[in-house]
Amino acid sequence: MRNKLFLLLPIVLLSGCGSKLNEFVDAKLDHSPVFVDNYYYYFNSNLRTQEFTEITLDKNTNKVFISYDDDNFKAVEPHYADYSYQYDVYGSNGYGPNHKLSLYNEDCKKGFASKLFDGQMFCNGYHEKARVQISPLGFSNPITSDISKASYLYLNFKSALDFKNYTEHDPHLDDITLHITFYGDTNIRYTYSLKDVPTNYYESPSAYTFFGFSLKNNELKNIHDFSIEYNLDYDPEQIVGQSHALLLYEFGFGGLQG
Amino acid sequence: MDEIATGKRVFSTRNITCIIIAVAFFFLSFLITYKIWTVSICGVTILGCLIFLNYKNKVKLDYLYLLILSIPVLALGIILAFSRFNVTYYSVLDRVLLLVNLLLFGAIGVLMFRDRSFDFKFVIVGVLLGFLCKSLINAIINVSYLGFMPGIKHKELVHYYNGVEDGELQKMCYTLNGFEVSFGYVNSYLFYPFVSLLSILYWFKSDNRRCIFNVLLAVSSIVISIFSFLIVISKYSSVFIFIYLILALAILLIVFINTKARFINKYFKLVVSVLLGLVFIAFIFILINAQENMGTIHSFTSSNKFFNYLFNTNLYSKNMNVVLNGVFTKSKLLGFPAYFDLYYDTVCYPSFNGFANLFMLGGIFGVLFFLVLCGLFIKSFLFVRKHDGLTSVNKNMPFFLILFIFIGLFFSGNNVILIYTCLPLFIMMGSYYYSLDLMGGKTNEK
Repeated sequence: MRNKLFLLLPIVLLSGCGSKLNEFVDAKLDHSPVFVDNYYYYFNSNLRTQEFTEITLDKNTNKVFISYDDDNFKAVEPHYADYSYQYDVYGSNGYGPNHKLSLYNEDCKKGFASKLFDGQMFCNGYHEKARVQISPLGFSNPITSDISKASYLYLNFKSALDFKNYTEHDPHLDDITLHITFYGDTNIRYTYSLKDVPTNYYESPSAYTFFGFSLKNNELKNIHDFSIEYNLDYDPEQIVGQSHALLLYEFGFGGLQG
Repeated sequence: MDEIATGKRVFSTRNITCIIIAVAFFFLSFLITYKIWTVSICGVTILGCLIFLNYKNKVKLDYLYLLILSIPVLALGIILAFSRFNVTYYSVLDRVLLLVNLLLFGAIGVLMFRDRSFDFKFVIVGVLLGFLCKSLINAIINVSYLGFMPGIKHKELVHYYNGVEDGELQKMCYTLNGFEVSFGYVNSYLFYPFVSLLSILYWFKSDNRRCIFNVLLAVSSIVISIFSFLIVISKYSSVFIFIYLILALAILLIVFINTKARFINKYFKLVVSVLLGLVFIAFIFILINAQENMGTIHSFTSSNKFFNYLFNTNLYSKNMNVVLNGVFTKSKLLGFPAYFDLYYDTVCYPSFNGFANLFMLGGIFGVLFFLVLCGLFIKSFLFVRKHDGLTSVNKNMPFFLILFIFIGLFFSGNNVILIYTCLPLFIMMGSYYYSLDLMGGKTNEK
């Protein structure tokens, strides 16, 4: 019996092996000025096969907003005027630093996706290092914060077609359908079609889309993972061989401050 | 009758007190990077036990010479307590305890000498068991979090923290700090299995090499240390692992050969002087090389590819040079070099070399007082070695423990709190030898 108990120890040991390897990524990721080298593809394979309830968001009912000045955002964030959208990390009242998820949970600071929880809403000259670049296949990430009390969520991103950091841009507008899925007690996928999304715009806050929508209390209960995927519905500039991506800079929730 | 007599011997008040001392040293070693106050609590426990063992002791001490010892200890403690680095990162209580710990363990060393039959094995076994347990737990944590040999299997991976890349997997690992697991350079992790290898020397120097406990301690230290090294092996860590193993083997070999041939005893003073001289020259060379504007030496090392890598561009040397360069280029308020401490206006990171970090923490005067203490203790050790009245463990093991810790801090001194918790141990063992020296080596050992 004692021998069998000793056998359990290596089994326990081996079963936990590599439990934190998902906080590590290939060193080449986000180090290349070549656009296609910087896609982040990590997606927990167990989540792909799970069923979910799909909610197609309605602009009015779900108070969907696509900019900081949107009336719907002002409706969900009563203190919106106290913060600055564009000053980002360079002022004490930057919206990003004051709402980042890492304020509430140390786990959000770990891993490649911690870029989405560090309060930095814009590129700020860090290019591929500042963003999580995803293809339509999207990515997933664990989330250990309690977001059941969140009153809204937000995602600050850019749309990009074979984007080159230093040479000429081709500013134009895209149509995309965004899917944000939460996995927990109930799996919920929120879907919204965005028209005329600025793509490859010159760097400024107007090059970004500040997207979000309202949440009901306890709508997101016991959530352990989330994923972000999208469909490129229309891009007038795209030709064969060109790659499209969403460049995600910040993902967070409002109403957690209590 | 014999059984009762045996029972009395095993469970005597003295033995129980010594076991408490060993347990205190175990916790001190196991929690050595946790908080400064854990050292204080262990120190007070040990001091209380030693006072209890000594209260009937009539051995007189030369208080004037003890005062001479306490001056550099006090000076070093005050400089460290008021160092701007510590003012920034540690509370007032921590800084006061830092000074108190140095004096506390100095007193402990004196009381260890004063106890007529104090056996150093209680210290050594406590410390070694603490480091062994820590090595094993660190290895298990890394296997659990990163798998086996992640530095080789996943050498291309990097870690992200708060949105930025904060380390390559082959250079980093997880370590238990007290009761928390932290992520940092593998150098800190390697310190514990290396010092644990001292168990082999302890077994060799013990009076009874057939004692099962001593054999088990030595064997388990080899197994756990090798296992710990293998877990984190990578291109980066293999350099430090190789250096640690070579040094450990060299020390063991020299001790073994000396025991058989006794050739070193004849020339011990000469050998120590030559080694210290070489160390001093190497240190001056490295210090001048770090001053880029002092010309010749730096021009020489940077002109040769091999020397440039060895002395300037590899991560270990690069970090050390930043700190040593700052000694003469970064100023305090009045524009003078770092007499008392060294703290940049911008962030200053400790290097991997504990001695260079002492410059950062204590400045030139801090290092000078530390060297004075080293000089006093080496002189005492050389005297004590000549006396046959001590057991091999009591005569040699304090020296070897400090040697292993020093070597460890030379390559794994990036965790600053390790310096603050090892300094009291150094002063304890030094004051033990110093007190033996004062009394002409007379301990009345049974």
